Amino acid sequence: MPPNPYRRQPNINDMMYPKGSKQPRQVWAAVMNVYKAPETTPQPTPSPTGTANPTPTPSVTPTQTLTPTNTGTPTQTPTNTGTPTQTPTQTQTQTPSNTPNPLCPQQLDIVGGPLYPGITGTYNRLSVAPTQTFTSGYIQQQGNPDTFVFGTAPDGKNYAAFGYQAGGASYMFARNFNGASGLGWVQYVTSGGYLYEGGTIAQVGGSNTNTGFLFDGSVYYPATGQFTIGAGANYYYLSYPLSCPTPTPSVTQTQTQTPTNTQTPTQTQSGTPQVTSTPTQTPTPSGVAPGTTQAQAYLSAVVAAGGSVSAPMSAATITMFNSIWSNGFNTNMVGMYPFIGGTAASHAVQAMSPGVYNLTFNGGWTHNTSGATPNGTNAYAVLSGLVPQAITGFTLSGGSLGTYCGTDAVGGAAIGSTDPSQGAFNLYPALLNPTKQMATTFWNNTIGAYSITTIPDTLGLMSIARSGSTSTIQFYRKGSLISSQNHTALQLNNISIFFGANNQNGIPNQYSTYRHQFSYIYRGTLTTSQMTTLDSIIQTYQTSLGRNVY
Amino acid sequence: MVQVAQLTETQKDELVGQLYTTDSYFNPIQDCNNIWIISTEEIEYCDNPQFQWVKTLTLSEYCPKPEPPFPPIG
Repeated sequence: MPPNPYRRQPNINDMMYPKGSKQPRQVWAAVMNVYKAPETTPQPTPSPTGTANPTPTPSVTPTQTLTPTNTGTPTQTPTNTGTPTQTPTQTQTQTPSNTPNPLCPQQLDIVGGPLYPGITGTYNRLSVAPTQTFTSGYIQQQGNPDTFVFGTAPDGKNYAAFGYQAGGASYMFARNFNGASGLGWVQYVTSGGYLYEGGTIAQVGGSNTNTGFLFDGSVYYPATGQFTIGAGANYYYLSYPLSCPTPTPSVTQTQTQTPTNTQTPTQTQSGTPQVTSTPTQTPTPSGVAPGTTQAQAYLSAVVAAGGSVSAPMSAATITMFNSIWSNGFNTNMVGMYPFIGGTAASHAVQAMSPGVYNLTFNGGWTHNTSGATPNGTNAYAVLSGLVPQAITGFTLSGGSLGTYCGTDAVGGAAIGSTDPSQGAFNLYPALLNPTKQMATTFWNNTIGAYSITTIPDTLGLMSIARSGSTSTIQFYRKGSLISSQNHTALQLNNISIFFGANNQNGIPNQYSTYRHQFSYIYRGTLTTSQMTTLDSIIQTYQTSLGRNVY
Repeated sequence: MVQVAQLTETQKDELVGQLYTTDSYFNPIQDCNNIWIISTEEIEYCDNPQFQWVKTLTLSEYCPKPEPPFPPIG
């Protein structure tokens, strides 16, 4: 029988516990026998050597009696000894032959085995993603698939992430959370780049019962010491290298066009400063219209995903990108989804940077040349890794989200991300209050906001924006401001965004049937004039594609 | 009237995390009686040979769970 191309890649759990066997909880996780370092006593950071090429990891010598270099008392006894009272000093362990650094912020080594060889290796500090640099982040298990979230973890700590790439695979070692619950350190193996680059998960292993860490005064790092993965003599040892490399940038900035926003505060009658942006375009040296290169990259990704793109569609898409760029919207456009190509894979492509924040579809969607339509029963799409709190530039007084709806409906969220105890970022194109009105709980889920103004239908671009104020919110339909309502912004939310439903703290609800023909997430302020321009660009695009709805 | 297909607990476990077609995952949810269901779209567009049995499931009328209320206005 040929291999099944649809089968999910086996993870460590699958390999350890075949289908039908009884599994204890969290069996996919490693048990890391490390001591918990005192948080209040940072370990001295060794002086960088200034070399970009770290000294090779010292070889390790498995022995029967070696003791880990730390003196902490292991909290768990390996299960393979058969004697509950046996201590780790009587079992096989791994230890480096040289005394490593107590902490190196830029690199760590994992040695040992014999199973799961991908666990072992020299991991470098991760700090550069396609859209931003970062000093900390963590892996969030909520949502599907798991995502890497930039910034401070739910427990208020900043955790370093490490990784290396070999043989087409990306290996990441980072702190793991399920919602707000910390699960220790974990290793993710992905293909197609790291998690934050849109990589596909191939294997998950780690140490989610471990809470050990080191603290340098601002960032938390994995604790050194021995750990095991699964049952059997699978011992590993985490250490920091003798020679600690200095940080080096890993990407080269290649963007040739740099819009600069000139911020002009103006005083309104209410005394609330309004900020307007005046994009100043730097001409592209090559003479190619700004946005063309990015449009071509997007179109290539659509085709590579199996989407159908005709010459008129291609031309219309390039024109749309040129308009986005020439009006300066590209600077703050976090995510843009044109939904062309007619297939789930092509609709999943995020246009500003294909592969980053791509969609993952779940439940019943219908994909065709008109766009992507959720069924209102169990369909939603995850904007993988797009969490407002983790995106640089989102503020309580700014941000916008919108969907060009191809169907008229009432009820449910077109876009939704809600944490009951924090903020929210959602768009309800129409709820009954008691007439048909737009609604949201944008940055404050304790209070709802309706447009109050009744809308006749939900066709066309339905958008919500905060335009320079933390106390008001604007509702737009087809590019026109239909109302501005009082609504106090409290907090950016920390939940992945869904299309087709609302992500209620990790659980989809408020399923909807609005057909997505173009959706966007924007992190800056949009004035009424700018919103009109954006609507015009999108409406022109839909018309060129022959699927405009008004 | 929305039609859905009911699943047993075992069938639900078999579908969770699995693709029914390219880039589209099954999403079994519970109805108002806590019975697991999938949608007709997942059945219709399922081209994964491992799960063709979903096309034999009997359809019934969907009874959704009540949604949490939209927050009150300030």
